[in-house]
Amino acid sequence: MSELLLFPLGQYLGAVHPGQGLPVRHHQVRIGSDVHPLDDGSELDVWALAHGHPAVVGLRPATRGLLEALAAEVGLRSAERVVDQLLDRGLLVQVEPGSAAAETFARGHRWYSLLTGLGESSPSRAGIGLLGAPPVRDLPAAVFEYWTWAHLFPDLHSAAAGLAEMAAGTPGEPAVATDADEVLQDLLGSLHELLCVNGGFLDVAGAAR
Amino acid sequence: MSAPAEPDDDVQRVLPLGHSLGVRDDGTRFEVRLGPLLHRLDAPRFAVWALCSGLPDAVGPWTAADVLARALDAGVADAAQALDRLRADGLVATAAPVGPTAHELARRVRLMPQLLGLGNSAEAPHSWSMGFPDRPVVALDATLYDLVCTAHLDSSLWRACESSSAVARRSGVPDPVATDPEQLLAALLRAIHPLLSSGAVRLDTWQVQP
Repeated sequence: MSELLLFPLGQYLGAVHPGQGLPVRHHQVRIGSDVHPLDDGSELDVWALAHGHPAVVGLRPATRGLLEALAAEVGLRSAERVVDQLLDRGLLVQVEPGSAAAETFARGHRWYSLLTGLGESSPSRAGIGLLGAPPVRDLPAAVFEYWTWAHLFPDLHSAAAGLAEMAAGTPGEPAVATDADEVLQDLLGSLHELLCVNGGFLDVAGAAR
Repeated sequence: MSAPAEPDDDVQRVLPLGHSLGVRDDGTRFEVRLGPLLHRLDAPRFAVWALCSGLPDAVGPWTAADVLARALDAGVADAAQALDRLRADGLVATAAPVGPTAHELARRVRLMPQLLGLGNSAEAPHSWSMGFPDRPVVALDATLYDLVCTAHLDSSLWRACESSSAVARRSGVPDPVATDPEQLLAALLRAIHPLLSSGAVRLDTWQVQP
């Protein structure tokens, strides 16, 4: 059994200052057609931490336990309570890759990629970022493929199936597995590689207008 | 309602379509994905495609002539030929902010954000930025910010303009640029090159239908 991974849901739409010289009223996160306010303190901090820290992602699974440990390190109090609240509000979700619940999650959620591809940094890795600047993240080849293609599909489940099908039709040794279940498990296990540098975001499926 | 014309509104802007995936094969090939199709470009064609996004120091409408002049300055070989081929492959389009070319473009492309919306600030509440959490990259007014940050939810740029203007009308926004989709489209096309050249947005086509 693999561990429960903790994901942030939604597209960050930024801080809202109601007028000149006034403090931030709240931050906005869009999920589907709903815009959720997050307070400028622990709610935003916890939701942001759930994207993963670039220095830690890939070394340790992005679990609730890791988030709470990181929160304690940066002096963020009451992280446990805030995580509970954000889970209740649908701004965070826990998923166990490979489980039946993960498949349900994958059918109900989709991926959008942000940033630009900078291409190969070595035969097995490729960068994303902004053209003309150093990469913000150097990705394993499979994760770069997920970043390239997964956002074209209406949900994560069909993205995994499509990526596996593409890999099966790729000559040589493809970066992505050819079994859709295996791809889905790896995709879910890899998303923090992208989330930690805002290389994309998770959204509910079916919200496109 | 037709959009009030501004000077240069009849000038055809040159626009890159697709998502850069970067360099492959030891720097000899570059990949651009447009919709579900992967295009492999040689260095001159990729340089010309990238130049179609505009340059930070550019003033006024960004046209095919500007692209060719900058390509010549940069020593790009056969830039005119590269631009023709990019057009033929659907990786470059032209449109003026007002009129039939704007409509034709807006109905066949999608506008996709590529950076986070960061919101506004206490110092400049009317300026909304996109970028990284600690590094704003580009600033927009509230009307274009609302359009750009959610345009990917619509199946075309035109539908995004319709959706965004409908929201503004329901919210009682008094600015006709925000509430009239034609004026909103014109405002976007006048302002799009800094958004493209900074990497804040791209123009793309359709997603995969399973």
